[in-house]
Amino acid sequence: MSLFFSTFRNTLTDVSIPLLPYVYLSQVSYAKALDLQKLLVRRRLENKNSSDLLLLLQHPPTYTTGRRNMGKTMNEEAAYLKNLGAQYFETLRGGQTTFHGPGQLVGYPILDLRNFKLSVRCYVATIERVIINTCAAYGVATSATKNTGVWAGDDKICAIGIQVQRFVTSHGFALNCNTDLNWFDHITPCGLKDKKMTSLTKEFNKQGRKTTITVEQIIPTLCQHFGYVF
Amino acid sequence: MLGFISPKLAPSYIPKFRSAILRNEFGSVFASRFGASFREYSSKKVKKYTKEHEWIHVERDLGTIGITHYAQNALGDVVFVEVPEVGTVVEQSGTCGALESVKAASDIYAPVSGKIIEVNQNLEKSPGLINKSPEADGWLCKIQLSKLSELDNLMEEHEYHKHCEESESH
Repeated sequence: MSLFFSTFRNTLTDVSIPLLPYVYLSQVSYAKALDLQKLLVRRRLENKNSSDLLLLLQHPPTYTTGRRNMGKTMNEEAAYLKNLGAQYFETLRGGQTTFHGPGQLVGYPILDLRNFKLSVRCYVATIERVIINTCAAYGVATSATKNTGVWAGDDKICAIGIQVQRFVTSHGFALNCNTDLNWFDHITPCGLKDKKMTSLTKEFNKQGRKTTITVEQIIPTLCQHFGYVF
Repeated sequence: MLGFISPKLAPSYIPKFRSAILRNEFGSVFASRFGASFREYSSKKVKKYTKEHEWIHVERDLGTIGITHYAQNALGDVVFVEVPEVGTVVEQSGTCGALESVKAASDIYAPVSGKIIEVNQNLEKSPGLINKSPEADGWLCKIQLSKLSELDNLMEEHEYHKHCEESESH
């Protein structure tokens, strides 16, 4: 497990603001990441002087489902997905079923929304804006629609699912960089039957560019754009 | 409950009563004299607010809970509502369900301690009621309060509006 730690700040204003640290944890199991988030949220709630933080990582092949499906997911579906070689978790985040795996940049901002004077609705829109700007930096045009997340045309490139506890956020976003998209064929991603998934590398290929982008390569750009708005 | 007490009948009582009027402490005056909380027998309806933007409308020891107009606007379109089951005992400030909007699940917190006695069944099919009528038809659940004094920890309407102005989100 490689560990990077750095800080960045908003370069567009002269106003002195607290730095927002990020940490990239490479590949971490979903269970460990869940425990880490719980610890960080508790720390944030109990100690007002503790810092906001952006966790960045990748997961081994893992399917997760959101709060609406807690306790309601058919055992057959969970067993089927586990048989594929993936793990399966029910979570307290918003959103429905999705996949996390190698080649997908997962970001868990642990923030107190009051620090940024953001409503839940505006926070989600701001995350979408960060992803859109990051993709644009690589020449891939994306947008936000009435369906939460970031879309390249009709295909979803980044899923979003958040939990908010006393204004502190957890869970976050999942941006497909060079993810094996076949994993998504076994579920209805985010509950949208007529929509497909895509990745930055797939969008490069559509443009005739024979390049691949990895999670490690995209992190500096994403953090830069994160820092512009947060 | 107002009346006149003859100084001849209760000479030691009048100074307490006068000062209580000034301090608006009728409850404590009658409590000390009659051994019971004035509020317990009051038919006055009370509406209070939390910092997390929940409201509670209390009549005697029964309360109706919901989220405020400010909160529903901050959340966006509510698509899923999770409320405690009837019979659940909750503590003040403890988790009391969640609302999902724009793929974000936001926890709701109990304004007071007590037992949930009814939930709004309409919200399962029509979660949008919370956006359309957050402080009326979009009520979340009803609670039998176990500690009326906890209402003292909550905000009055004018305090809550000031709290919202200070929060001032985008």
